[in-house]
Amino acid sequence: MAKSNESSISTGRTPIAHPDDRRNVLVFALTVGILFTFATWYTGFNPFTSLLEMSEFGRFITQDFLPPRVTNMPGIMAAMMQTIYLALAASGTAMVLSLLWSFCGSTAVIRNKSILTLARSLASVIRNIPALIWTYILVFSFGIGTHAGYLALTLSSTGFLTRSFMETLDEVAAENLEALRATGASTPAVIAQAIIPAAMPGLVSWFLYSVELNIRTSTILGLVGAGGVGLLMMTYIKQFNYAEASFVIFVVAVATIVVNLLIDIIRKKVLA
Amino acid sequence: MNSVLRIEGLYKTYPGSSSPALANASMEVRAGEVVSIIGASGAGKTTLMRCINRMVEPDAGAVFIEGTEITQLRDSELRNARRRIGMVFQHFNLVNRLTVMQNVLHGRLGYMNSLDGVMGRYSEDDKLRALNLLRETGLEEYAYKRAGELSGGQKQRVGIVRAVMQKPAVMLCDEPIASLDPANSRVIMDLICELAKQGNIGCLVNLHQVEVAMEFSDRIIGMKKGYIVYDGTTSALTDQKLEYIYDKPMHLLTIRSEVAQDG
Amino acid sequence: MEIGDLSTMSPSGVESEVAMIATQVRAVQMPEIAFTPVSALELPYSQRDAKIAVSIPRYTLPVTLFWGCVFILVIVSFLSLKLDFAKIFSRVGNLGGVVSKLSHLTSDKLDVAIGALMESVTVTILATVYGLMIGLIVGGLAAENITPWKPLAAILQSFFSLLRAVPTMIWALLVLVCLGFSPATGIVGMLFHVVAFFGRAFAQSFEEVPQATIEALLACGANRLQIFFSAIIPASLTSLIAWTALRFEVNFSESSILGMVGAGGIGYTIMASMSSYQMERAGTAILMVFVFAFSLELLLTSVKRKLKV
Repeated sequence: MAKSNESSISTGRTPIAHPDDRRNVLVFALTVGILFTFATWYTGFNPFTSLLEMSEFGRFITQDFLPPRVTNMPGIMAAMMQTIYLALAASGTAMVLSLLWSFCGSTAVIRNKSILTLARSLASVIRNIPALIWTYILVFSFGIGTHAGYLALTLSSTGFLTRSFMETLDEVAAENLEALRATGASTPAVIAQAIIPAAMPGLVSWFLYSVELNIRTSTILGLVGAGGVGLLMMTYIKQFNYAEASFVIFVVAVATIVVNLLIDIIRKKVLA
Repeated sequence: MNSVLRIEGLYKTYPGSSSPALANASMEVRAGEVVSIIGASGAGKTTLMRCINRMVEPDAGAVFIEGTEITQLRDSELRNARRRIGMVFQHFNLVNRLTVMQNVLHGRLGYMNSLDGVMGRYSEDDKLRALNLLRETGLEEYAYKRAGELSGGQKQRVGIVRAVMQKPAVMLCDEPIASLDPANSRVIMDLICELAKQGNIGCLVNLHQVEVAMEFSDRIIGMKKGYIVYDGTTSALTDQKLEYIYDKPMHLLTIRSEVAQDG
Repeated sequence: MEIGDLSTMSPSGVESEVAMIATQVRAVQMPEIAFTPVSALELPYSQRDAKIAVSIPRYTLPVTLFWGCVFILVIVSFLSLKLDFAKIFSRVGNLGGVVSKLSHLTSDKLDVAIGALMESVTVTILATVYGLMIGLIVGGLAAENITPWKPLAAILQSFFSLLRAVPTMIWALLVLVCLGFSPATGIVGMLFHVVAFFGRAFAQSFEEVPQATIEALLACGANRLQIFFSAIIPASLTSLIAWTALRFEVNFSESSILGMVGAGGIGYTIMASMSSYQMERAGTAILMVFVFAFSLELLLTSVKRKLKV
C-alpha cells in the first residue's frame, strides 16, 4: 500500500492495477523482450525478408506440387495402413506399460519413496527426449524398418502417457482412497473397485489422444527410415518427384483429419 | 453396555509444529452411545478421529476397539481392525462414477479376500442387505444411479449406509453435516442416532454446531488445543464451560442461548 | 425391520440371522420394490441367473465395448505388422551397445554442439513469440463470441485443422525450398502449427469468457477492440499463459528434431554425429537436449504453480 502511494506522489499518476500484476507483467515483458532480442540477433531472422522470400512459396506450390499425381496407389495405401497399424500397436502396448508404470509412480498406490522417485525420473527422461531422436537411436540399433518405428512410438507414448496417468491417478486418489482404506479394504481391491473406475474417463481420453499423437508422429518416422508413409514421401522428395509427394501429403492430411473426427465422436459416446 | 472404543493417553504432534495437535486424550464410547466432540477449529477433533482408525499415526497412547489394542497392528491385522470401524466424511468421499449400490458395497471389501475384492464378487446376501438398507434410508430408487447425480443429503446417506454395511462396532463421523443444509442435517443426525441404537454401534461424531451436539448426543466431549477439557452429559455443559472450550464469550458464539442456559 | 445385534453373535449365529432376514425379505418385500427401468436392459435383476446387479448396462456397456474394440484393433494391428519379436530381442544387444557408447560424454567440439543447441532454442523462442502474436489475432477472429463475421470463426477453425493435418516436418521441408538452410526455415516451418494451435486454443479460452461480461461492456459503448483488450484478454489470461507454456515445450521438441531434415540445430548435430559414428558427441548432444527440456519443464511447472496462487 505504501508503495503505490509513493509512486503516485512521484509521477502524479494513480495506479489502478494490483501491484502483484504490475510486477508480474513487467517481469514477463522484460523476459520476453530480452529473449526475443537475443534470439533475433543470434539467428539474424528478419520476418520481412522471409515474407518476401516466401512469395516464391505460392508459385512453388501451384507449379511443382499441384496437381498431385498418383502412380502407386496400392503402395501408398499400404504404407498409410502400415502407419496406422504402427500407431495402434504402439498405443496399445504403451497403454498397458503406462498403467503399470504409473501405479508405481503414484502416491495412491506405492508408499516407498525410492520406487516412486525411480519411476518418476525414468518417465521424465523418456518424455523429455523427442520421439524422433529415440527413433533415430532405435533405427541405428535395430535397422531400418517398422521394428524401430514400433519401438520408438511405444517408447515415446509410454513416456507421455505415464505422466498423464500419474496426474489422473493423483487427482482421483486424493478423495476416494481415504474412505476405502478406512473400511479395511486391501490395496488391490481399492485399485480395482475405486481408483480405476474413477480414473476411467481420464484413461479413455488420454488413450485416444495418444492414438492421435502417434498417427501424427508415425507419419514422419519414415523420414528417418522407420517405416510407414514417411519413407515413401522422403523417397519422392529426394527424387524431386514433388507431384507424387504432394499426393502422399494429401493422403496423410486426409487420414489425420478422419482419425481426429472419429476420435471426437468416440470420446463423446464413451464418456457420456 | 460394553465399551466398544476406548483411547488412553493419545498424543500427536505434527512435524513442523511446536504445539501438540492431540495431548493425553483418553475417553470411552459404549455400544449404542452417540458421543459428540465439540471444539474450536484446530482443537484436535479431526486428529483424534483419524488417530483412532490410524489414518494418522499417533505418537503415543493406546486405542482399544472391542477390547483389542490396535496401535501396533500391521497390514492385514490393521485391515481387520478397520473393518470394525465405520467412517463417515464431511465431503462424503464416494466414487461419483459408480452406482450407489457399488458405493455401499465397498463397505464389505474389508471382509473379502483380495481376489473377490478385485473382481467385485459380493455375496447375494450382502447385495440384499444393501438394497434393504437403501430402502430404509429412502434411497431405493437411486440404487442404480451414479452417486455423482445425488444431492448432498442423499450422498451422505449413501456414505452412512456404506459404513453400516461394514457391520461396525464403532462409527466415526467427521463433521457429517458440515456440507449440508439444516433440513438434511436433521435427517442425517436422526439416521446416525437410529443406527446407533438399532445396531448397537458406538458413534463418535465431530460437530462444530454445538446445539446439534446438545440435541442428538448422549454425551459430549469438549476439546481445546489438543486436550479433552470436557467429558460429560449435555445437561452439565454450562455456558461457562462452553466459553472455556471455545475461548470466547457467549455473545461472540452462534449458540442458541436457550439451549445452553439449561445447564 | 429389525437387525439383530450381529456384532455379539457367533459366526454361525450371524449367518442364520442374515439367512432369516433374507428369506423374510425375499418372501415378503422383494415384489414391492418399485424401480423405474428405462428399458428391459435396466432391470436390476438379471433374469438368467437371478443374481442381484450392482450396476446397469447403460453405464458399464460403453466403456467395456470401447476397450473390447481397442483390444481387437490392437491385435489386428500387430498381426498386420508382422513384427518379428525374435529379431527384436536378438538385437537388443545392439541397443545396449549403442546406449553405452552414447553415454561416453565428451567435451570434444562442445562449442559446435552448444552453438547448435542455441540455434534450436532461439528458433523455438522466435517461433513461439511470432506465433503468439499472430495467434492472438486469429484466435480472436476464430472465437465465436467476438468474431466480427460469424462464419469466419468456423472457416478459420477448419483452416487450423488443415494446417495441423500436415506434419510440421513436412511444412519445414516445403519451406526449405524457398528459404534454404537457415534458421528462418525452422521458424517459418514451425509457424504453421504454432499459429494453428494458438488460434484454436486461444479461441477456446476467449469463448469461455462469460457473455455477461461482454454484454456489460457493449452496454457501456465500448467498441470491439476495446472489449478485446480490456476484458477478454485479462479474463482469459491464466488460460493463455498455460497454453503458451505448453506449446513452448512442444516447440522446443519440434525444433530440436527439425535439424534432422537438414536445417541446422541440435537435431542435425545428433544425426550427423551418429552417422559418422561419433557416438560420444551424439550422446553429449542428446544429454543437452534432455537437460534443457527437463529444466524447461521444471521452470514452467513452478511458474504455473505460482500464478495459480
